[in-house]
Amino acid sequence: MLLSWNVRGLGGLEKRKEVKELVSEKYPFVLCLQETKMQSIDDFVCTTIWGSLNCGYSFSPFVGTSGGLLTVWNTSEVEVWASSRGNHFLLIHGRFIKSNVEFHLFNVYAPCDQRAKQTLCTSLCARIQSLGSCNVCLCGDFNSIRSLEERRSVRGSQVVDDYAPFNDFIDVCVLVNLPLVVESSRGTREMGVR
Amino acid sequence: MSRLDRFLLSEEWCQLWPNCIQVAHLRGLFDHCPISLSVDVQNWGPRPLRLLKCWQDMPGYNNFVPEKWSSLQVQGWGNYVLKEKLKLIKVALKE
Repeated sequence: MLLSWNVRGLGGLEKRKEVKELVSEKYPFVLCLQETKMQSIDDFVCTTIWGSLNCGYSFSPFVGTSGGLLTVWNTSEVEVWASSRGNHFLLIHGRFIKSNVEFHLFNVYAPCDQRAKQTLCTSLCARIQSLGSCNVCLCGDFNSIRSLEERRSVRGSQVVDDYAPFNDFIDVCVLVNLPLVVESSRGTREMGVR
Repeated sequence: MSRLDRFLLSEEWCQLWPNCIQVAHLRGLFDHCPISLSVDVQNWGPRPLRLLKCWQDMPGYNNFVPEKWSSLQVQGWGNYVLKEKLKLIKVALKE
């Protein structure tokens, strides 16, 4: 299992406790966090969210609008060969040990600004295409929706969304967007079909 | 909550793990919830229908099936009716 979560700040102990709870509940191979709002991540921070399990990590610091990214993996399940930082994304390249399958995993936190978002899509696309045909997975907060049905505004304001660029990005990079199953205490339901 | 968080996969990934599922785990009062991607080992989709050609050689088969089929009354939408009738006809054939 892979997990992705926009935590909106990882500085507070409460939030770290919440993440740790999730980790011990789901026992993921990889955990991708967005908006850590932390300039640096060290072994101590990782231990507070991952517990005593063996882990490796890679992060990108909180600077300006980049929000801060953190990717943590279970070293008994995943072997990471390389990790690289991009503008608004963090990429790890490695293999799942038991199945011996190679993969590339992008942890993404897209900016709100429409133009900056477009720049990110372009650079992600170039990166994905340069990888050729391989097992690629992107996860994170794309700050974009694919259609009006995916918008739930709490403010109730008339937000004009331009979702064409995001859909173009998915099409051009030939990415697959799976339907989302929502799991809550009230049961599960499905929303947003491909 | 808008659907801003997600997983996007390459075609190669999907071919390798065709039964991947993406789940949003609602918890607490956060404005973003964790999303997981996992391989659903339980879900192999609906069981396929099996039909052996030799069944047609049994005397009465060609009359029995259409008669039974039209006598079965199932309420619901088309696909459900088809599924239920196939199930019921299997039971009838076994008897």
